[in-house]
Amino acid sequence: MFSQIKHKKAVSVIIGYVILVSFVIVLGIIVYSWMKTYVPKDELNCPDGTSIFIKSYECSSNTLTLHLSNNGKFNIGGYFIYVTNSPQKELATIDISRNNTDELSIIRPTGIKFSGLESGNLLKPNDEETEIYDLTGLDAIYSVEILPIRWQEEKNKLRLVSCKDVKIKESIQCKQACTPALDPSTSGICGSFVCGTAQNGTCGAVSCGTCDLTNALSGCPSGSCIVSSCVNGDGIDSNGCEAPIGTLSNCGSCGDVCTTGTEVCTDGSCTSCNGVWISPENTGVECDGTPLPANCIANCTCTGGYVSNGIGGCKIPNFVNSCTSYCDFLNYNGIPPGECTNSPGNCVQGGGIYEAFGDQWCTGGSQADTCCCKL
Amino acid sequence: MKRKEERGLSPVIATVLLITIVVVIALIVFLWIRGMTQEAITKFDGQNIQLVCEDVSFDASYSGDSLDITNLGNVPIFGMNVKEIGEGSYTTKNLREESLAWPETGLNQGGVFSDTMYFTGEEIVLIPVLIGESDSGRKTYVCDENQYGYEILI
Repeated sequence: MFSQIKHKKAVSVIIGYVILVSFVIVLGIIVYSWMKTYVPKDELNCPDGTSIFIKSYECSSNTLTLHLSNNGKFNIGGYFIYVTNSPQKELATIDISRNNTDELSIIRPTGIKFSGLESGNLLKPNDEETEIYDLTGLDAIYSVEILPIRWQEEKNKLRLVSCKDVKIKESIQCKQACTPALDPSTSGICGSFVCGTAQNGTCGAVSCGTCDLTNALSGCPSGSCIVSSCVNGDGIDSNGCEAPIGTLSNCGSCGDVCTTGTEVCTDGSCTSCNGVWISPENTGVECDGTPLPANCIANCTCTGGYVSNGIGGCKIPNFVNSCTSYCDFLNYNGIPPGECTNSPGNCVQGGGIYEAFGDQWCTGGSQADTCCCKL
Repeated sequence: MKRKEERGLSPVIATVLLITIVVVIALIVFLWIRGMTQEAITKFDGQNIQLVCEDVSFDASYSGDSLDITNLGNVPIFGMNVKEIGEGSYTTKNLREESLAWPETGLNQGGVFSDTMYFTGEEIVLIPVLIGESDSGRKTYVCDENQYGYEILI
């Protein structure tokens, strides 16, 4: 029995191990080759602490000068640069790297490298670099975005790496004639202004015409005609005012009444008449002889024997005796004082006016009708 | 004596047959499973393209009917699917086909895209499309929308 078992044929233990190990190795290789693509690798990125910023910029008619500074902890090799040509654009998509005036620093197809020919991270921490761009052919620029780049060794190869986490964006004003606040396509240059002067963003003042509503106050401080400063009888602003301003009853504005007798409305304001009367009759002639404005009863300084009539004018004093004293008062040159005459021609020859019937003391009777002359 | 003369396969032939059957069955199973699994697309020295999607980085905006995209990362974006989501429906467009402004070689490092596009939905989702190598040649791969989609409200 023992002899029979001893002679059974089988694989030896050693060979069994070899086959088993070989099988495991082959299986391992197969699994590895299948799974190896799923092994994650470190993402290619710039080291933390990489940073750049725009220290200042100048923009002339067709040139943009950027002063860049490395404010990080690592060297920087260059950057991608984009600008926006509209204030509404959130993302800058106009690549201006080809506009760099230093041809040697331009990377194809896009990008700028510092310090010309060499491809290295040449901008050291705290270093500054001035970049000049020719903006000929470009529109206005409203913002600029800069994405730093570095050259980094990856598997013995020098690779260009975008520093995606440190992209910077700055608002700049370049080649902008102005920034209109009003949309001409929808509201015209003046927008809601129907008159006056509108401030159109940074584009300065825009004249929007004058207020042409009937009798409305001139001036348009808020872009609308002011109709409250006149008599807007029907309460409808759009048809203007029913009564003009600048009158005695609505001088400067609605209800601005000038004081009767002492004020006159001049250029929208009530001013004093300031008249000096010499006419005793107060017939609308100013004291110095010029016509008196309506509404004025001047406060005259009465001279030549005239006295105040109590309402701002002058009058001949009240004589209590006769024509003689009256004529004496007039004291007309050429006619003796106190002498009466019944000949109007005497007055005319002397350039005077014959005081006759109707004048004080010159009433009644033939003698009484005789009177004297006055200027 | 009688048993000794019974006929049968020799041990060698039986072993060969057994191994052959095992190999054939293994081959059949391998081909079957291979057909069920997705073909691996790789990029950047054999890295599976699904993992490369994680490294894709871009910025985008849609305003005034202008769709703007900037590639911020270090992975070229071969194409971009735009999923326009409306009320109860969505449509997907490929920018490579929809816009002449999309670069033929894709959006490389620092590349920008800007074009006038009209979307009527409530939201758009930008899904990057990468290109990689596979056993059958170059193939495109659409990154997972849920993980790598860039949503923009219209």
